[in-house]
Amino acid sequence: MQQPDLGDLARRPTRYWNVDGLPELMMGLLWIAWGGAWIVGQQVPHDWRWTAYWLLVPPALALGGFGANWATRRLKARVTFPRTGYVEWKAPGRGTRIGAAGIAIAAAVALAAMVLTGDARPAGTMATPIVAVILSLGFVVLSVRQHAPHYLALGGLVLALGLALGWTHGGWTSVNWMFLGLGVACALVGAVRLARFLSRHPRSVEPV
Amino acid sequence: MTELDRVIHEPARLTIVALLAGVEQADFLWVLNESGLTKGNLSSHLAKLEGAGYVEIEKTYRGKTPLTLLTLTPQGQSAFKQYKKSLSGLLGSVRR
Repeated sequence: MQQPDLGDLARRPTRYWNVDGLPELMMGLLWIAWGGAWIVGQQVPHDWRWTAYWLLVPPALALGGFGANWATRRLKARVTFPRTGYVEWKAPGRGTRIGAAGIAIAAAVALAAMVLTGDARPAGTMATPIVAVILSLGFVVLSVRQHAPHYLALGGLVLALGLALGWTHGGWTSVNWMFLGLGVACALVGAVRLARFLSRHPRSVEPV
Repeated sequence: MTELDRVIHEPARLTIVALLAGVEQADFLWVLNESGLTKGNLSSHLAKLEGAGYVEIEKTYRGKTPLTLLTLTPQGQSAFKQYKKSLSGLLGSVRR
């Protein structure tokens, strides 16, 4: 046996996260929910229903992110681990947690500043291409870190969608249509990968 | 000259330790799939790593499914860190 590539071995647990297509499937469903809920929200009559809808839906969508993560782990425990083995991933480091919190706070402050100064219209026009570029870069990072070329394709797709929808000057509505389109693509990719994973890996550990 | 840890330096054991270093814990099946070793080979290398105090093996059940959990002990983690340090020092001196 040759001396192993330590760098490659160190990346295996991260790559294992998306071996089955479940994260893409859940991410896709989450984006469909996000885009769909905002698009549906625009059609709600402007009376008590509007208030009730916008009071309930945004917190539910925010919690949906945590819910999707929880559901992915539960599904992995049922689908993936009995076939290709159980892995308990390391908790993200302090630096990663601080970085994520910093980005979330910066985004919230920028959004609040736009709303408070009443200067949201120009940002709304540019929102779709900007969000598309950010998402696309995220996919590139994921693709490199996890050795997953299909994320590059999703990055290209969201960029193309963002530029095309940005061309229509639809503002925030275009962002929601972009989420919807990306969600459908992600869910399809996830479903295909999951089907391939299931056909290639029969359950190797049977309950006793 | 820098001394390399003989327990870890063996390629199969180095693969096992490097895989376990990236996770909190993993089961036998995952390490088997990722390392490409046979069941018997993996078991014997794990026994050696357990004997050296580098890996902890826990046999348990998840529901009704048997599960052999493998964890790199703090001793194993520091040995792996030291091994990588020694190896890069050795490679550095060869390059010079």
